[in-house]
Order: sequence, then C-alpha cells, then structure tokens
Amino acid sequence: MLIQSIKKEAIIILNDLHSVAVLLVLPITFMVIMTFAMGEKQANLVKKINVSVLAEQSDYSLQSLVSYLKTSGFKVNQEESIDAFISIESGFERNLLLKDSDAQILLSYSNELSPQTRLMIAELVKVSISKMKLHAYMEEVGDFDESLSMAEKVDIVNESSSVDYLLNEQNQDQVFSAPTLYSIPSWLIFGIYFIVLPISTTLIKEKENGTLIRIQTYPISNQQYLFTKALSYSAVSVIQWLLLSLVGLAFVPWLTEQALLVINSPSLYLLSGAFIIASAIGFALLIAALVNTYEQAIVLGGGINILMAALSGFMVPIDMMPDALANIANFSPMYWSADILKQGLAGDSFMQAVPNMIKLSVFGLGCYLLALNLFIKKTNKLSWA
Amino acid sequence: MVKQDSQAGQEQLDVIIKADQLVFRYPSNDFSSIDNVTVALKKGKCTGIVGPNGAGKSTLISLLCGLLTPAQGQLSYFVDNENSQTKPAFLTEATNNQVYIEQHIALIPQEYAFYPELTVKQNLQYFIAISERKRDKQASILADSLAQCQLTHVANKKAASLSGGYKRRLNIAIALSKSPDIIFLDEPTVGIDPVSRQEIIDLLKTLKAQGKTLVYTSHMLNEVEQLCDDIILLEQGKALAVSDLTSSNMMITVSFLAHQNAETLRKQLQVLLPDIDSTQPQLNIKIADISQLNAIFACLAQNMSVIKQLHFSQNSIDQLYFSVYHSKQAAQDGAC
Repeated sequence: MLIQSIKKEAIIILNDLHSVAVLLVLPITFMVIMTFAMGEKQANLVKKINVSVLAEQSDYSLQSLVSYLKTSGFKVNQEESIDAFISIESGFERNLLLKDSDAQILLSYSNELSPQTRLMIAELVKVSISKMKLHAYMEEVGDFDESLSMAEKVDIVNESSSVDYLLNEQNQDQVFSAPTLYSIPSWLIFGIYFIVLPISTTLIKEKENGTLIRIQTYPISNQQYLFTKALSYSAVSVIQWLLLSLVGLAFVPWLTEQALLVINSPSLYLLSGAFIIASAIGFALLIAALVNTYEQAIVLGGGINILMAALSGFMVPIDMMPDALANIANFSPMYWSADILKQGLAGDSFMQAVPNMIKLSVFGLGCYLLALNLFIKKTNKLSWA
Repeated sequence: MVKQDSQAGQEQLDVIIKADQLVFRYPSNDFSSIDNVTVALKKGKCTGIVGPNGAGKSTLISLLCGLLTPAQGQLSYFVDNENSQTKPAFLTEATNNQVYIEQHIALIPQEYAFYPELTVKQNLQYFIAISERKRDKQASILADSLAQCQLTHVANKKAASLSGGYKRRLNIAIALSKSPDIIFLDEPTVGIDPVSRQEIIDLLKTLKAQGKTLVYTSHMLNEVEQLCDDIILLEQGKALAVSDLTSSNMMITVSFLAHQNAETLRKQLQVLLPDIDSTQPQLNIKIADISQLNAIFACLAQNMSVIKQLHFSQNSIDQLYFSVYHSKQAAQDGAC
C-alpha cells in the first residue's frame, strides 16, 4: 500500500508542472540569482574599499600583505577617505609563524560602514593574512625560486592548492559569509517548505472529485491515510532535498563562479535533512488540512512560507534587520532549518545541533497532530455530493 | 399461515440494508434533512432514490453507506458470510458497520473520483492496494475489473486523456475492483453520449444479474425505470413513496354506463378493493398486488354489459414521480 501511495503521489507531482516548478525550479533559480547577485555585490563593494595599512616598520611581510590585500580587490593606502585601518605592531614579522601572531594585528573601521561590510572586510583581511603567512612559510622553506619577483610569488600563492585548503578551513564566520553559503541553504530550505502547495492541492482535488469520499469506504483509517500521505510526500521531499543539495553544492557555485561549499559533517548534514523534512511535511499537512480551496492554499501556504523566509533572514540578512525583527527569526522553523543545515556544513558536533533538532521535531509533530485532528473533522463532514 | 411466515422470513432474508426511522440534521440547518425515513434495500436488486434537488437523496445515501451517522433511528447491514461460523444476522453496532462498509460497499460518485494523472491501470492498482487485497490476487482482480468494464485496451492510457464514457467506466471499474456486494451510484451516466450511456446501463444490468445490490440516484427517470426494481421518492427529507416498480405501476380505469347493474359491479369491486371510492363515475384502480388481477378481471368479465369503457395502463416512473410530487404540493398549498 505504501509503495503504491508513494508511486501515486510521485506521478501526480511529476505530472504537475506547477509542483515541479515550485519544488525544484523556483529554489534553484533563487539559489543562482541570489548567489550571483551577492557575489557581484561583494566584488563591486570590495573594489570601493580603501584599506590603510599602518606599521611601525615596513618589511617584506608587510609588502606581501599589501599585495594580497590588493589581489583581494581592496584599494590599499590610497589618498582618499579610509574605510578600514590595519595596524601592525613592531616585531610582527619575527613572530609571523607563531600561533599568536594575529594578536599583533588590529583592524578598525570607519563608523560609516555597515556591520555586514565590516564582517566582509574582516574575512577578506583574514584570508590575506593567511596567504601572507603561507608566503612567509614558503619563503622560509625555500619553495620560491630566488629569481622570482614579489608579484610572481603572490600569483603562485594565490593559485596554490594550499590556499583553497586555507579558504575551506577558515573559521565559521569566514565560511558563513560566502555568497554560496548565505544563499544556498536558505533557498534550499525555502524549496523544501514549498511542499505545502502540492500537498494542499492534492488534498483539495481529492475532496472535490469525490476520491476522499470513495476512500472513506476502504479499510484505511484517516490516521493511516494521512500518515501514508506524510510518508509519500516525505519520500518526494527526500528526492527534492538530494537534487537541491547536488545542484546547490556543485552546480550553482560553478555557474556563479563562487567558492564551493564543503560539507564538513556529512552525517549531520544528512540527519539535518530528516529533521527539516519532518518539520516541512508537518507544516504542509496542517495547511492542507486547514484550507478548502486552491486560492486559500496559495495565499495561506505560499504566503506563510514567504513570510517565514523573510523573517528567517533569507531575503535580508538577519544582522541587517532591526533587533526586534531579528529576534523573531529565533521562532521561525525556517531559521532553525537553515541553522541546522549550516551546522552540518560547518562541521558542528551532534550535540551542538540538538537544540535545533528538538525545535524542529516539536514543531513538525505538533503540526502533524493538529493536521490529523483537522483532517478527521473534515472527513466527518464529508457527504455524497 | 406457515407459508406466509416463511415468505415473510424469506423477504426478511432478502433485505441487505435496513434503515429504520432515520433522522439526520446538518448542524447548520434548523430542519431535518432526513426525517423519519424507513427503507429496506433488497439483496441483488436495484433501488432508485429519486426526488427534486435538495430532497435529501445525497444525505440518505451518505447515511446508508456510513458516511454520515444518523441522529436517530437504526441502520443495520445483513451479514451472511459463507466462510464464517457465525449465523447470518443483521449488524447494528457502528464499529461492525464500519468493517462491513469497508468490506462490502463501494461508491461511484458523480465526479470522476480517481487520479487523472495516473493511467487506468495505475489508478486500479492504487485502489486495489488500499483495499488490502492479498498480493497474489491483485493481478487477477485488476485484469477482471479491466475486462468487465472493457478497459483492457486503454489500461496504459492516462485517465485524463480518456473520453467521458471511458472515464465513467473507470469510475465503475474502481468500485468493482473492491469486489463489493453493494454499489452506490450517483448519476453514473451524466455528461456522456447515448451509446456510452446505454453501455453503462447494460453493464449495471449485468452487475445486477450477477447478484450485486445497486443503489442508484439519478434525475434520468427513464434510466431509473430501466434499472431499478424499487424506488424511494424523497421530498424535503421525507420518503413520499417507497414502491416496488415490478408490481405497482399497473392501473385500470373503469367507466360505467348509467345502468342499475353497475351498482352491483361497484359493490363487488369495493369488496375486492376496500380503499377505492366506488361512488365515483370513473374508477381508477391501482393494482398494488398482481395476485389481485385474476379476481378483478373475473369481476369485470361478469359485468361487461355495464362497462362503458375499460382502459389498462402501466404507470411510468415519471407519472408516479409527478403524481406523488404534485399531490404533496397540493396538500401543502391546501394547508396554507
């Protein structure tokens, strides 16, 4: 029965171009557009930023840092208003390869910069410092040919696979600011929660064409029927999840020429998918049990999804929202979903993800139980047309 | 006496669903949608439920097939399971009724109650799967349902692409795939051409001949007449008439000459048919029981000399429908 039910729902969805568009085309389009837009925005923004490097003595490492800041896109030490200052204490070069050398670098900003831009500058400066350290290390172990100029050495470091490694292993703040990591989890989650529309329209169609009445005379209880539907659509969501992950993690970064996303904890990433899908299906069933017409499904299901996405910082980053609005995100299942997904990408431990797992489970189960109650009431009112 | 009891017992056994003084009221209404209706559906027969829009047909069917629960009255289903050790009996407990409905009743709604995105075969496979039929029997049930409704050659076609007639057949095939004893049909021929309609009527006749019990609602009274053995005429939630169409539709109209012997005939007919008003110049004699015919004909034959005109007619269901409906309207107008 379960296999036939899953087969039925899958065929119905695949035959419905609107469902395919909503579940796959829409989130992929958003992933591409937003990643591209954010990548472009960041690149353009960086070109306008003037960084002043202040050091007590000018040495070789300082020169290489300036080169790496320039290759990151910054203007350095230009005669115009300064956006960020990098102050380097004396003796920095001596301690360069020591663990606490970063403490000798002070980064400060102009008051006019937004928190988002400050964060981006900090990340790019950190990348430049990492490259500078790599440069110094390669110099020390004799990896560079002595005849090479500074510019040629900088190119070698920039193209080095070790730099890719450094970029991927950077701290979470850096990783999280990448356009791909900002856009892809968000729009993937957005797509998963849009399962609400196919579920609602199927249920409305079944009610309108008498199929639901017909099914009432079969040996399948309302509880079984709704559970089978939940399982069927969960299977559909798993396929959607895998496809969106594949497209989001591989195709979109390639298309938009952005950094690839690395799943640092594959097991947590996969597990987070189960919790996110459970929550999305519970929510979708609740809306489906609540609405009676296609218009209601679109307005209520689609509307709530868009509202949740906005409040969860998918459209406007949370750190750019007023505090009151940003606090609301903490109560949004989409925010919990995006958060747990990012935990899987960042390589957090299971224990760190437990609060999000609990929130999503409680939300999903609560919605499911409410949906069951509403669905039973609805079927009790069914009569021959 | 013994013979009469046996006959009554047999009639009792023939009843497959008994509804006794059913009352149902929708919460939003201040009147009863079904008001004290008593009906008995006979095994292997087709019962037509007719009446104007809003008469309560849908509500009565919903009650009979367990979709709604009556506020008052009792609904019972007759069970005679050959494989069971238990004696044939009427089930009345709601839980038992639900099991009975799941095992024995199928619905054919007026709408195309299936999934247009699926093929004919996939639709049937789904409904067979949820009817919990044994896996090894599912293939043969599928083949039988397709063959019976002449759908085998379109089995792999998408349901949405079928013509209206084939969609109607699929609607029926899904019901048959449940192997039901009782089938409730709601206007199963709406929106299709006359040839397809007749094919569906013929299919339903075949089902009846196979012993299936059919409950049929339709505004097409000629279809009801073709198919149905019994008719329940509903108006404003009340059963105005519950008739056996095989015997109750014969009418004899007798006009008398102004002859003194006519009085003798009138008196003799009054004895045979106590309900008639023998003083009327023209007698309309409705034959409720075919066994009365011989006595009535003998009486008329003995008194042919005083009969001015003798007319035999068979009431169509239309006449029955309109006579009952109009007399009810007239009674209501009079009351006002």
